[in-house]
Amino acid sequence: MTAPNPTVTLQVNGTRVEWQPRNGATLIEALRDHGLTGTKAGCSVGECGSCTVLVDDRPTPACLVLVAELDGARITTIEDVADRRIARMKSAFISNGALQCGACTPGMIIAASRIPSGASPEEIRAALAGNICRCTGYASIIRAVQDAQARPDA
Amino acid sequence: MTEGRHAQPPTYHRAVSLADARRHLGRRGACVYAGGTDLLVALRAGAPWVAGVRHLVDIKGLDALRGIARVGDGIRIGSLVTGAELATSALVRRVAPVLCEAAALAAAPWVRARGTVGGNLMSPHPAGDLATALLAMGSTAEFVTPAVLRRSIAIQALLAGHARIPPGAVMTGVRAPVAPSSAYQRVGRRLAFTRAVIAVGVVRHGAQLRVAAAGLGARPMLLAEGATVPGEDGALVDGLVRRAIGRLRPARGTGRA
Ligand SMILES: Cc1cc2nc3c(=O)[nH]c(=O)nc-3n(C[C@H](O)[C@H](O)[C@H](O)COP(=O)(O)OP(=O)(O)OC[C@H]3O[C@@H](n4cnc5c(N)ncnc54)[C@H](O)[C@@H]3O)c2cc1C
Ligand code: FES
Ligand code: FES
Repeated sequence: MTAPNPTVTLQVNGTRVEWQPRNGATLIEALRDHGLTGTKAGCSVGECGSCTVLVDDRPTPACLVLVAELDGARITTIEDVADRRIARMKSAFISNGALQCGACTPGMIIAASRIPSGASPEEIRAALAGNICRCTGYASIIRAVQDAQARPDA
Repeated sequence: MTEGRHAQPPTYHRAVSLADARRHLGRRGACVYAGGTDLLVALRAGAPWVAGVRHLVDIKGLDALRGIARVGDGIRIGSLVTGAELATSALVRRVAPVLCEAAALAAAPWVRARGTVGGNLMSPHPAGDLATALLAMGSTAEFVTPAVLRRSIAIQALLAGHARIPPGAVMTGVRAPVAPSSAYQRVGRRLAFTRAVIAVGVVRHGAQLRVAAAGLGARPMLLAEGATVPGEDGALVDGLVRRAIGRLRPARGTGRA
């Protein structure tokens, strides 16, 4: 048997946690093991973006990061109710009908929440290139992002 | 979600110095871990090339492996430099557009933000975009191994499998002559996030062309070195090469053109 991983200390949605990652455990597995099931696993190999969370405020697919490497990191998921940019994006997605089955939505909202404001539709598309949606055809998603960016900070 | 899982998940180690990395990498089954974008996919899939991996040695904390700099007549790129850094570097855009364009076309934004030059050269996939551009440029990789402090290997030999890389070797960086007249062209099923199906990098030094292609063999390969381009690899490659050549900027002030 191989030796176990050392414990990591993380900030998850503003709360300090100490996790003992199983060997080879990715962030998506650890989040879901700890009851944070808002983040969805799709392909599990970095191709669909449905598992996107913020690691130190940067959109990152949680299926392709080891928990063990995240000691000291700040993780933000769709469950974070304190993050204003996420909250604004959630309500813009709802009012623009930017979700249907919802499988891509948590990752899409997280990724969209960090697109710099004033982005053109092309820039929004480029920023969301790693987030696949099988349902909406993307037009409503682009509209939602533009709408969220036009809203004053709630 | 355990199907295809690596039978014996590896232990993680964070290297705090190059010496520390070399020490960890002396263990049996130890493997360099950089961005992890190839390794974690391979481990999940149970790919044969990672079957023996027992220890992942994370080198991301080693600042000596970062940075892009002009060195003499060429450019030096640390092995931890990411695709995102290459795609947005003004220096790379100026002296090596082939590399800048390859980086900008590779994968989705977050993959570019994590995937490194070292990983692209060392993982055994057929269509590494950074590897193809670096091959067209005629680059050389530098390694430290558990036994030797510095060893240089031409990327052409590395990709052709002609160089034996000792287990536990860490690539520290890559050196290449500047290639201000160069271009990269790629065909993929969906450009945004999948690996290229076929891609070519073309570099011109005066009348001489170097053409490297991704997706034609097990690793990127040098298609042509000289003034002419062979037609035997099919119309698609020919068309790509012609388009890439059509986009070449005139070589200026390189001292080589
Ligand atoms: C969704 C997705 C899309 C992708 N699309 C593309 C694409 O379009 N084009 C493309 O080229 N690639 C693509 N990739 C592949 C990958 O992102 C790149 O190859 C990347 O550059 C790998 O770097 P890494 O740092 O993540 O490597 P890792 O996964 O960390 O390592 C890969 C291998 O290289 C070795 N290694 C890494 N660094 C060193 C070093 N310094 N010294 C010695 N050995 C080292 C490791 O031991 C391992 O064997 C994609 C990957 C994913 C998941
Ligand atoms: S589940 Fe992580 S990218 Fe698809
Ligand atoms: S809403 Fe169904 S995948 Fe996007």
